[in-house]
Amino acid sequence: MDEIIRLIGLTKSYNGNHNAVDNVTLTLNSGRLIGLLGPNGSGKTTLIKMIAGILVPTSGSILVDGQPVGPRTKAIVSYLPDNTYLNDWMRVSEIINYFSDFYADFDVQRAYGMLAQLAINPDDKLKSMSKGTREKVQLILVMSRHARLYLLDEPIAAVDPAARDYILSTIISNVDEGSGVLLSTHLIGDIEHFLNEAVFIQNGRIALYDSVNNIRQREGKSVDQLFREVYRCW
Amino acid sequence: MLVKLIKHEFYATWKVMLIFETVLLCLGVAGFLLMGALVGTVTGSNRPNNDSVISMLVTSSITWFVVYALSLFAVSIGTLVFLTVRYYRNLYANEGFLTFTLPVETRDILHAKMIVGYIWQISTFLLIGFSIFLTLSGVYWNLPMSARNEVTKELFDIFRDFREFPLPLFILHCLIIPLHSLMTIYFCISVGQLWYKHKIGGAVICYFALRFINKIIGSGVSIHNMITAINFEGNMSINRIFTRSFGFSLIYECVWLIAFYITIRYVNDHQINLG
Repeated sequence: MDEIIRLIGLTKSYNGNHNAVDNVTLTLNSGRLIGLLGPNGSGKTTLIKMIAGILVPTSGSILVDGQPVGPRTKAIVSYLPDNTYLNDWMRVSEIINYFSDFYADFDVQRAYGMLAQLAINPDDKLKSMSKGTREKVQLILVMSRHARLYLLDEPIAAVDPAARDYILSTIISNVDEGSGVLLSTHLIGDIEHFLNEAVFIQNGRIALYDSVNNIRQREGKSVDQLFREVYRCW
Repeated sequence: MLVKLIKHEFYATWKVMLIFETVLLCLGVAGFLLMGALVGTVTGSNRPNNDSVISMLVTSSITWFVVYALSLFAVSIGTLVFLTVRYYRNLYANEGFLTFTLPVETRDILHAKMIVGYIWQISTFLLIGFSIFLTLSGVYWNLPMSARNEVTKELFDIFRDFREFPLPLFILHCLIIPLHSLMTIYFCISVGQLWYKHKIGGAVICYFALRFINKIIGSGVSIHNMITAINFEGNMSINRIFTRSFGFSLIYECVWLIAFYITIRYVNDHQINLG
């Protein structure tokens, strides 16, 4: 397995006093589905944004597939943010053209196939769609790339259980062998069975990083149970 | 990748800009027809005898000119506002999550915005000129022959007086103005990103601060130019004033443009903070 992400002393502070991510050093390998687990405000989204290149670290460095964050890493990273980032005046087919123009690894056939499965008309404009459908379109675009690394920020938050199943199956069935997935969530129970490794993050620091099997054996409980104990609010 | 960015930038903006450009053309054609008809009626051989009708026609002409001037102003402001909103949304609002994760250099993103924005600004600028030219043509060609000859003679006299007018400097100045106004807005929006919260408020403060500085420097330089343009005999040379003021404006705007460009590049490369 190749190393896909290396974080060295990574820190991001807002307003100079609050460290959203605090001196994180971590190496993640490709070919794994890794859960980035932590409660709201623990620094998951900040960490993912820095790896994606839309947030500049205060200090430390990030290497993706051995390269510092830049156009070359963006060409191999497929990023799903926790909000909608598509131009809502565009038709789905226009957005597909946009993606295929910029990303050499974008699979147009796969995108249209997934749209057909969900009965989404490629000629529809995004602004005419419901929030849930727009999120599905975004997921389809992100998962239609043959990327080396998928960064998925809270893909199953705020969706109903049926949509959650669809999203998870789409992710699992479309990730190429050898690609890495870093998926942030606080809904552990739904994804635990799919995960190879788990990274627990708390107050911007890595609290635990191990394979899911090791965690279960060592702790004698599921990752979900451990998460509830580690992050209990009382 | 720059070519692709430019292509998609055009694609994202052409529909709205086409509406603006069509409005400008329609205003020009309407001005040509309406002003021509009004001037022809008031000054022609079939001129109405009734003074109240003539006064009504003159009032209509003035009203049209006011509406026309306001419309031109609205379209030029509308173009800038549209390009501003596009820049903000596409870079620093939700769409920025996609724009800044494209496998392109951040400088190319800025260059595409600058090139496309400038082309639209210049085309609006040219169409405003063409629209005014059409309207004035409507007036000119509907004047009686004697009046037309008089106007032509006056125009030649004006051109003769301004034969030393620094035309190349003036054209260069006209070409820089749209880029300067565009980059001023882009700069303010980008600087607004340095605020942790209230990013739009930060951009607005930056804009007014910049305007204030420009006004002070511009006024000082204008007064200096006026004073130094008076020659030893105490005569004021208009052409010398123009040459100095266009020359200064060119250098001044170019210095600002370089500062704007470097700052935007710095913000996009080192301070990007999409939240």
